[in-house]
Amino acid sequence: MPTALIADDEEAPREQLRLALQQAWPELQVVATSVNGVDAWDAFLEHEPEVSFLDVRMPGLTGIEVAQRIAGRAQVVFVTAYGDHALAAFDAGAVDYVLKPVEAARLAQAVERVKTRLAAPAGTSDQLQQLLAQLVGQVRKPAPLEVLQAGVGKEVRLVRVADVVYFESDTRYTRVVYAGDEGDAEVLIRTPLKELLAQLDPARFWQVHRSVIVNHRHIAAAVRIDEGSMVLSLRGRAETLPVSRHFQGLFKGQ
Amino acid sequence: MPVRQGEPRSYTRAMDDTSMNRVQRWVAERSADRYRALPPALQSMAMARDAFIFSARGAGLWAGTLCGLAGTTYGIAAAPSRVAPWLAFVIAALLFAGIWKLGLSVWLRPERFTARRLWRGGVLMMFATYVGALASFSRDLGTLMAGGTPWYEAVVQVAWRATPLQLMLGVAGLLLLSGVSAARREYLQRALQQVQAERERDAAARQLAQARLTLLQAQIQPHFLFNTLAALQHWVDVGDARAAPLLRALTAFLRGSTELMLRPEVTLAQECEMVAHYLAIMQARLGDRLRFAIDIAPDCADQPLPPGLLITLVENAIEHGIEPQLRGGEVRVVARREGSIFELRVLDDGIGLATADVHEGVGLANSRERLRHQFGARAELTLTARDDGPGAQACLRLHPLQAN
Repeated sequence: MPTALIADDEEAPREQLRLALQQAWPELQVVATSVNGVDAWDAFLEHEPEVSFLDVRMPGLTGIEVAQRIAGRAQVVFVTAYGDHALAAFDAGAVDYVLKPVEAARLAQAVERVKTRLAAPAGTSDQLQQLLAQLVGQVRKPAPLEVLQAGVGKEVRLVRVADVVYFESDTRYTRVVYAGDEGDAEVLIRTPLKELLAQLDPARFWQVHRSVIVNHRHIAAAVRIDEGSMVLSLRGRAETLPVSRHFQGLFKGQ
Repeated sequence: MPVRQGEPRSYTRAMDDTSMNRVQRWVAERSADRYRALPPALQSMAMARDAFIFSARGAGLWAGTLCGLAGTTYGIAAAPSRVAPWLAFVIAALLFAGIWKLGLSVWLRPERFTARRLWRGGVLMMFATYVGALASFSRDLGTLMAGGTPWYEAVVQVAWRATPLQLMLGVAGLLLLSGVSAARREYLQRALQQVQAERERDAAARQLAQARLTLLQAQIQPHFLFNTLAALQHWVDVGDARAAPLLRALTAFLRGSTELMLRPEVTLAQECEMVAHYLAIMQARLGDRLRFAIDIAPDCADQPLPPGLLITLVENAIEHGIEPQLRGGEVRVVARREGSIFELRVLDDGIGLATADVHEGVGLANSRERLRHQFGARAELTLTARDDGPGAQACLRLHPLQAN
């Protein structure tokens, strides 16, 4: 049974789409509904749905940024309101979209196309990536985070993001391992990893696992253990970090 | 082309082909090439001039010319020199052709008749009239020379005798030319200034109209409208109780915007009513991600403002501050009067302005333009990061009128 993810930061259109999909594609199983971009990306990694319906304007990560991360791994259909300036680019093809409020006929059409592509996968994702890269700049974003604040006992420690070696999700906290002035140190912060991801510079911090983001300057090597698993060794550190299947493409070798 | 006050009627009439008589049309058709050769600014003037000459009112010019021609011919022929009548006519015709040529060009291009050129022309004219004088006094010249006077003395004597008349004619001609050209120059200058002033006024009016239109369009963004309709559609479909109040708020907002936007100015209280509808709509859509407060001091309620100013600021705060933030946030509208300074602030605790490039959007530029139009330099609109926490604040300060 095909699985799907629905992401929209507004409740009404999210629910409307869910109901409309029940009609248009009864076999489709909606495995996750997300209320923002970071949740959507996290839910994608958790559930690995075959189709993602993404609102374009979402807090955290925009629909376009989520699609950039997904691209090639699953089908994406954008859901957007008329008047969105990204629309013009969608019209150029390559990315499918439906307008809000969703119309049954148009949704049925999009569903048909998704079914066709699911049946014959492997398209040219380069073109898609290019298009998404163009689109991504059109949405205003806050500047990347520079300093983290972590409560340690009675003091609040300031950690420069540039000094961070990696972030690791730890049940209710995020563990931050960084190169401090007196050698390596670590602190716990309350911000969930998925939210941090949206605030970090993607050129410097790579997500390699649903629960790990690493500063690529500290990566020494990627080691393949067997068919499905890979680990990273770090410069001057003993521990290794897991690389999940989705992210192994980052380390292809040349 | 609008009919301008203070222009001769023939000027504007000449632009209109249907109002031309047969002669005018005939002349216009044959002069087309000549007109094209002129600078564009002069073309319409030359056409108007020619149309005037060949109109019924221009007939006086022709009558005057004919009478002058006849009189001068007679005068020359009857002079003691006994010039043959045909020669007298040719001389008179040349004289009048010269006058016409001068008149036409002084009318069209008075700027060519500068003092220096006039003097140069004057000197030339004196020489020409002396030559003419020698011709018409040729009999005297002959008599003198026959009486034994050397030829050069005879020439000086005859020229001397003619001088008062030539001088008078020359000076009169020069004065007439310089007077006409000066008057014409001044007239054209005034006309030009008038046209420029009108153009500037038109441009300013167009700009303002454009700003209002852009605002109206921006206010009822399709994006806003369709997202709201999407929510409405769903809640109507599933029978959710939130549909009715949302529809009411949307109706009130749309009615309010279209009415208020067409006014030149609105009071802060009127605008706040519209802002409250807008915030109610956004809150229905965003749920607990949006909180808001409106805090207007009683002495600020009647402050006149350009319509749509406050709502633009509130919209910006939500769209760029609150909506992109995961946990949402609060928008506050605060109006105060500090002494004689009116201050209106829109605060949010959203993602702030820390983007790589803070480009101020169309909305803000538009607001500044309209503030400048209404208040001149008294109004000051700034968008800054909040210093008391995360988020941004838009601040409008209105200074009192300076007595100077």
